[in-house]
Amino acid sequence: MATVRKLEALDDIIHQKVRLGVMSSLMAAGEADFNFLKGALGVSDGNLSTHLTVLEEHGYIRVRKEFVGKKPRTTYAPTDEGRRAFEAYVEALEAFVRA
Amino acid sequence: MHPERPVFRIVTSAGEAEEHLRVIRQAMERSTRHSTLSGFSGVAVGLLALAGCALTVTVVRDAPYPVSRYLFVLVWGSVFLLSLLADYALTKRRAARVGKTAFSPLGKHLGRAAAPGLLAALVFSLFYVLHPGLRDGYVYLNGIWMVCYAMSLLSVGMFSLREVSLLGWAFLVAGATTLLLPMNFIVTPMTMMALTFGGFHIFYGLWMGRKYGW
Repeated sequence: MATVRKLEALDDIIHQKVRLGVMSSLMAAGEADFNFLKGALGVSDGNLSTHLTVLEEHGYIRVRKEFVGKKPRTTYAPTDEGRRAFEAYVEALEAFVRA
Repeated sequence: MHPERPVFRIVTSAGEAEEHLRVIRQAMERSTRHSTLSGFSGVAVGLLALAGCALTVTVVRDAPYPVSRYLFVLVWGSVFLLSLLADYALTKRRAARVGKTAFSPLGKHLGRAAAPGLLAALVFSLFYVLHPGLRDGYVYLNGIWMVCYAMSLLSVGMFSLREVSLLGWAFLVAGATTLLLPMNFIVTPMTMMALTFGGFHIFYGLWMGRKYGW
């Protein structure tokens, strides 16, 4: 039978796989636009959009909208709170694996 | 105000935790693999270097001393500055195309990695300018520039694509050859400049453009 352990630092907002992918990508790249994230994570527009909204609502990412020429471009970047949450999440996972 | 969030999750096995760590690694690797290095930039820098070599063997070499010294500095100082500008503009363009910014934390990191080698080359160049006794010193500068540039590329290559490291090793071998073998052994130092800063860059640019995009 699998051992069940409770991880108090494991943030449910980041734990979802698409959101985890988004946060990981943004932590590595620093900043990325919608199409880049879609290509890097291999998810649909709607799915990505939903998870980006959740991350934004929780203050983990900030959104910048601008026009490049005549085309609208939305760029995402992790906030300080998002960075801290991501680092805490990874530390908790690593501690769990080591234990 | 942020919605209330759960403060813990139940993880049933180390396998699940490892799976999430794998997702993190994969996403991070994919994000850094989308290179902002521009193929056009390599070609542009190579062409500028070839122009610098052509001016050196025509205008600079035929000028009387010490005018030739100042012309040498003017030509290669211009090549360096124009190369930086071209690289900046083309990298920015490429970054916008792949949905990133040239000045992301990773981009800044690469800039910091490149700086020491480039500054070392600048110091050696100033040393040549400030010592009039080194009349023909520029022929040694060619090999020194190659070695310094190799240091920059190898530092950048530690955080970037494998091709950057390979280019760095190629410059290091070329620089060592230029400095250590007898002067004008097989080819002149300026021919080596054309071959490396010109030819290597153009080949690298074409390779990167075809493989990763322009």
